[in-house]
Amino acid sequence: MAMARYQLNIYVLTAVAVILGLVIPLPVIALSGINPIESYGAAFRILARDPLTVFDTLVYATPLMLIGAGLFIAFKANYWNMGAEGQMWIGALIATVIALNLEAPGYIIIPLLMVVSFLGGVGWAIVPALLKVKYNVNEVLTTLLLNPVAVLIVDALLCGPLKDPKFLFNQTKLIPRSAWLPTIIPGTRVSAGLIIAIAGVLIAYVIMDKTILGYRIYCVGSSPQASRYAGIDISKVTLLAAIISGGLSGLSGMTLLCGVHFRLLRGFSPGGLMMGFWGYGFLGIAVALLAGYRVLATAGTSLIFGFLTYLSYLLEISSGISRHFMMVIEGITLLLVISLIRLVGEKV
Amino acid sequence: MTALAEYIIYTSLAYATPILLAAEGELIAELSGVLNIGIEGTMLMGAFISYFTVLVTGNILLGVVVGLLWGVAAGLTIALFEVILACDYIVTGIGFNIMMMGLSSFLFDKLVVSVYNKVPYVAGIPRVSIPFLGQLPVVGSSIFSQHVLTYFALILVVPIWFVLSKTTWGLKIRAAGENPEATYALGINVVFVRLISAVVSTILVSLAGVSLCLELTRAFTHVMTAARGFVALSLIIFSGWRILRILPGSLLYGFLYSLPALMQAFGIPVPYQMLLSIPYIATIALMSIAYRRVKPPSALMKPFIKKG
Repeated sequence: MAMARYQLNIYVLTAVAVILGLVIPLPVIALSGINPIESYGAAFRILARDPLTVFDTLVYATPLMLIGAGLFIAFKANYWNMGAEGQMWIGALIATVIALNLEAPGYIIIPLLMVVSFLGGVGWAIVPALLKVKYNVNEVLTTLLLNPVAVLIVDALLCGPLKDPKFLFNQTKLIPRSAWLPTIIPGTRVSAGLIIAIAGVLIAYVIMDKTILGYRIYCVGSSPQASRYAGIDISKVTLLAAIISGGLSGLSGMTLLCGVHFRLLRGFSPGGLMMGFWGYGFLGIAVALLAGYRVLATAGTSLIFGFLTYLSYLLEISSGISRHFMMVIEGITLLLVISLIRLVGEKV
Repeated sequence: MTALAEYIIYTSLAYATPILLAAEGELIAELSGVLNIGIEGTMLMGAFISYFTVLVTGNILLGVVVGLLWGVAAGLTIALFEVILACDYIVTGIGFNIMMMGLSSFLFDKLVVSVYNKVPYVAGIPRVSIPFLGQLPVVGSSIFSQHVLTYFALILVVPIWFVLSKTTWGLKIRAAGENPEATYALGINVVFVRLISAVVSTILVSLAGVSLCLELTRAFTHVMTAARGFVALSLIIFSGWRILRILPGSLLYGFLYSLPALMQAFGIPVPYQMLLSIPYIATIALMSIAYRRVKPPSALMKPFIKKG
């Protein structure tokens, strides 16, 4: 009962925080010489003119669901995986390499790419996880620092062996048609990646709420001391949580590759210019944190941040507000939610 | 050979300055029990604000002062969330970083790139050659002809060491970080001590950004701090929270961060992506080696909530 009430609170708080997150930065936009009301108005005029583009919300929500559900599991195990961005890039990189070198029918190549991208994400996530459980090395810093390393590796390959020589941009060739995920809503960019993402959230839900592993993850996260007395192997549970979150982040790279971009390029993630310090992996942190105590809520928070990402692209087109502004909105939302929980969370 | 040695010593020291300043600042906050993961965003915004001020006014001193004021503002913000509201340190830090990275990039795009159509260089903080010492061979042109903030960062090690280990204020700071409840019971205002430590800390962190922007690059780019803040955090960990060990560690990082410039200056063709990733990989390696031997302040990351 208490939990259900808390859950309601965090939804109310999240809604308040997101709205304030959109309103508080308005003076900053105004100071930079843009009429903020006019810019939001222009964004919504584009939306009204071409309403089908609102389905892009689902396109941006797809990787966020996978990353968010994975990070939810890691955070609940008290493992602060900040490296989802890098895990996503490595998953996408490995899927790209396989897809470019293997001609096979879709029913073989697509499951194969799902598996290898998952394993790629796991591979990138496992080093900091092992360092954490074996030597107690702070995972916040190690996972964070591996993000730019992943982006730099992809960047080096995009400039060299993987570059499509026909283009000036550093990007790979298109992957074969058979590896493309089909569009599921005609007239939009929404691909079957969304189904993979929803399945991912459901699997995360089953793991967390229906299996003994999920129960142990909650235990380890809320009281390592009590878990140790209860005979839970904390290292194993932490490692498994890290592996699942890394794998789902890697898988999100595959949905972006096969469902949205069909090639690897720098603009793969909204944090293209941010050298691995922002992107879907960091939006996923907010998605997971704002979901409170329910895995399934990550689907809802993904939609919120998917819509905000869509809005930030609209603002960029209509008023020249760079998409980095989205980061300000996300940061303010996160800070507001945690402080509002401290201020009113227990009382409401 | 002499030229190479001079160049390596000079660039290592110059590149070590922002990391040293950030680590000195963060150390004060951490000893008082405040872990500021928002260090990266603080530094980045400090760099942008000082760059923009100098770009518009042409006054370097004003740029530094504005950078210091930003440090105060950032410190108060961090203290509001971490000390007064006692929010989670990791979420606060990550949220603050994302916000400041976004804000600096947004303002940079809007106020610099789209106005000037390029990234103009600004007048930087000058190099000062120390009389007599500056005339010595090798060390004269490398150590004793540095930028102003490099001298400041190096000399600052001494007063910080003195205050932290020899004065009552240092004792209060460390007590607040080791056992806030007992400290509070002795009549010391733990919240106030932590707040002041956080503000002093972010002033130095912001100054690290100023040094990076006005001494090293003299221009701003997106996320130009390149994890220097996070590197400073890890430097504190493997120096075991001791100021005298932070100095050599920051010189090592200065060398690693200066490698791209070094390779370019001597025309050695190495993929730049490899050079750029060296500091990150080195940090992870060093943390793995050192973590078992050090002990953080007991109440680090534990918010102090007054009972009753």
